[in-house]
Amino acid sequence: MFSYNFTYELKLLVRNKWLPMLSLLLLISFTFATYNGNYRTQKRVEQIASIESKVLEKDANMLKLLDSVEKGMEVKTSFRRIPNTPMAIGYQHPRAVTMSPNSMSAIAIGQSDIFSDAIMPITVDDDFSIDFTEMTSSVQLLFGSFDLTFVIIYLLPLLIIAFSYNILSAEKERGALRLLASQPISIYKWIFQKMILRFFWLGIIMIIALVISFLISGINLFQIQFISLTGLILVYMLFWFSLSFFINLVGGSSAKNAAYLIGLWVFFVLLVPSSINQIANSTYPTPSRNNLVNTMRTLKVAVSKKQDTVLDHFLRHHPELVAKRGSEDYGFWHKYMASMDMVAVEIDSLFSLYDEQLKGQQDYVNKWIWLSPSLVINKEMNRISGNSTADYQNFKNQALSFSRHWRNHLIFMLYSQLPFTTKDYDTLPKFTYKPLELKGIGMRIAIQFILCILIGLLGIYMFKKRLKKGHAILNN
Amino acid sequence: MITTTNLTKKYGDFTALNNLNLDIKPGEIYCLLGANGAGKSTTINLLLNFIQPTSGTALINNIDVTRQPLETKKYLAYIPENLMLYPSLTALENLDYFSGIAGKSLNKNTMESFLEEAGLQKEAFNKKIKAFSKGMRQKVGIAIALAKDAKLLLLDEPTSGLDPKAGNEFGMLLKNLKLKGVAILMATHDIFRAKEIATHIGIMKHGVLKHQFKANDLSLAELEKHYLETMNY
Repeated sequence: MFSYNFTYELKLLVRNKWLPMLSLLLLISFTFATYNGNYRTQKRVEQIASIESKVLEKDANMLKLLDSVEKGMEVKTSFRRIPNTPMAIGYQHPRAVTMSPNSMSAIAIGQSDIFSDAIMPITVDDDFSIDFTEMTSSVQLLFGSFDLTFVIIYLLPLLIIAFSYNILSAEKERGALRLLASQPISIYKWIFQKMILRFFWLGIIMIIALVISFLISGINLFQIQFISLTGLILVYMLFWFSLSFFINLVGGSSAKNAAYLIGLWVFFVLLVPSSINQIANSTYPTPSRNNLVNTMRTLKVAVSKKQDTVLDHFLRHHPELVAKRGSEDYGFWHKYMASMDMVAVEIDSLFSLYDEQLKGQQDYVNKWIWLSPSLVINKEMNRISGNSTADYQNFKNQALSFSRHWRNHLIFMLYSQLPFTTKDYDTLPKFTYKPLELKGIGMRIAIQFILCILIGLLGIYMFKKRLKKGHAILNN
Repeated sequence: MITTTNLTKKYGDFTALNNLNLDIKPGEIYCLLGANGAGKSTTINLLLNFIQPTSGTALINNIDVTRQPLETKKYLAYIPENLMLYPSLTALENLDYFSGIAGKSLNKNTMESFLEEAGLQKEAFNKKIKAFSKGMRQKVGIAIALAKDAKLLLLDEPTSGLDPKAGNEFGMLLKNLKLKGVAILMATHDIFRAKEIATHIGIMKHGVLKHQFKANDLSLAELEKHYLETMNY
């Protein structure tokens, strides 16, 4: 039976213009979405490159100036801007802290349109970290830009529904099912083969469209992430085909089937994600951002008013920084940095509130994510793209810890009353972003696959019951 | 070839078929006459296992229809009232597909000879079914039955909607099949065609088989009289 179904299903799909139409649709939407994602990725790459080159350029000028000063030459720069003190470096010559997009960044814009991936923390404060407080759960990001993830999560299921909702009901309504059912074949096996064949052809079309769209956007195909991505899309397609198989077996007329499947689409793609998101947000509300900014300012003002006591306090906590030459050598920067340290301690506890709430939201989403394969696949695609919430959080943490490291490095020089020389330039801390490890995708695919099999088996079980009642073949 | 014993189908309080006993042997054409709702189609649906009997048994080639439905379907061919095939496939392709999924691979020459035997004109072999009349589609249906080498043919109102010439051609085809030893059960309203081709005739009303005759035992006029009398009481 299979070879005949294979041959004639292909003939029918070609003659009914299904295959050419699907190929065109997928090709256009994939190419446009990938182009869109890649365009943004390129913009990010350019932005990061420009920041990095600016830093290099400034560094080169700074070294020249420093060299002249060290050689005792006269320079025209105002004494505040001469980079021979650690604070001048910390204030005027920040390092570039950047997160370069990975090779698959184009597939999901993720959080990248909300958060910066290139910052230049200066020694005086951690204000850049406010930029990260608006970070939200991945669910919110479902309703995002027109990237490949959007096409896969939202549009592909609709195509699959249109392609498969009436495999059995159309035969029933045309009257061909009676002739088929009088053959010595199991009808559910026959539908199963038709489904598998349609899945097969759509899968082939999808892979070709993916390859072409990647080639057009110049994304490398020979990487393990490409295989992971293909696997994820295929198993997501299989999920919708298995739902359609189920509805074909237990549903009624074509119109009913279409309504059921659209209902399922709304449920899995819209309702479940937005409900989880709503509940997560109201259970773990993010504190007001304005509040945070105000508290931060008030703290700074309060602390700067009592810089003398602050300095004493600071030195008691950092005895290693106590100058050997006596307290009269402490100047503006010593006091200021000590007060900033105090602000940082206070701010950290505020930030940890954000982090806790955010973690609460994310844990909640992770706890219920299995309710919708759309969520699971969306999350995995975001992870592959390196633009997920987790990736930006990881970047934020690395940036913050680098910023502290950078500051401590310079503060130590400040309190040790050390000047900044050309030799110290090479010992300045440098930032390199360490991306999160990408693992567990195979497991996710396997779980989704098992889910598809269960849906199929349930459909067959219910169909056999309907066969016994005589509802399956006849129009009643 | 077909044996039913007290075959009964009830839908709640309504009895669609009541204690039907039939015995149709190879080479016989049994015509079931009766008004709409008399139980003719129910009988055929039961024999195809599309519905399950409330009580009684149906055997095809001595195999129980409800217990081994797929086994019994190897021996039968069915032509529904409005035979629908795949409109965008040609006659040959439809024949190839339906024989193929039933497990018979045939070469092109064999298939053409079946279509020819079924009376389809040669120029239609490679035309898409969508342009076919009901009579032409039925010929493809007969070709499918021939290709399957069916021992039993189930027909539900096959001649309704056919013009007299097509109806006559169809009758001739059935007679040929009869000579080959095929058992045929045909549900019909067409008393004249039934008298012409049947070996046995049964008249049904309200799910009950009221009368059975051998077709040769009575004239068309007598058959019509019996039919009308049965319907009136």
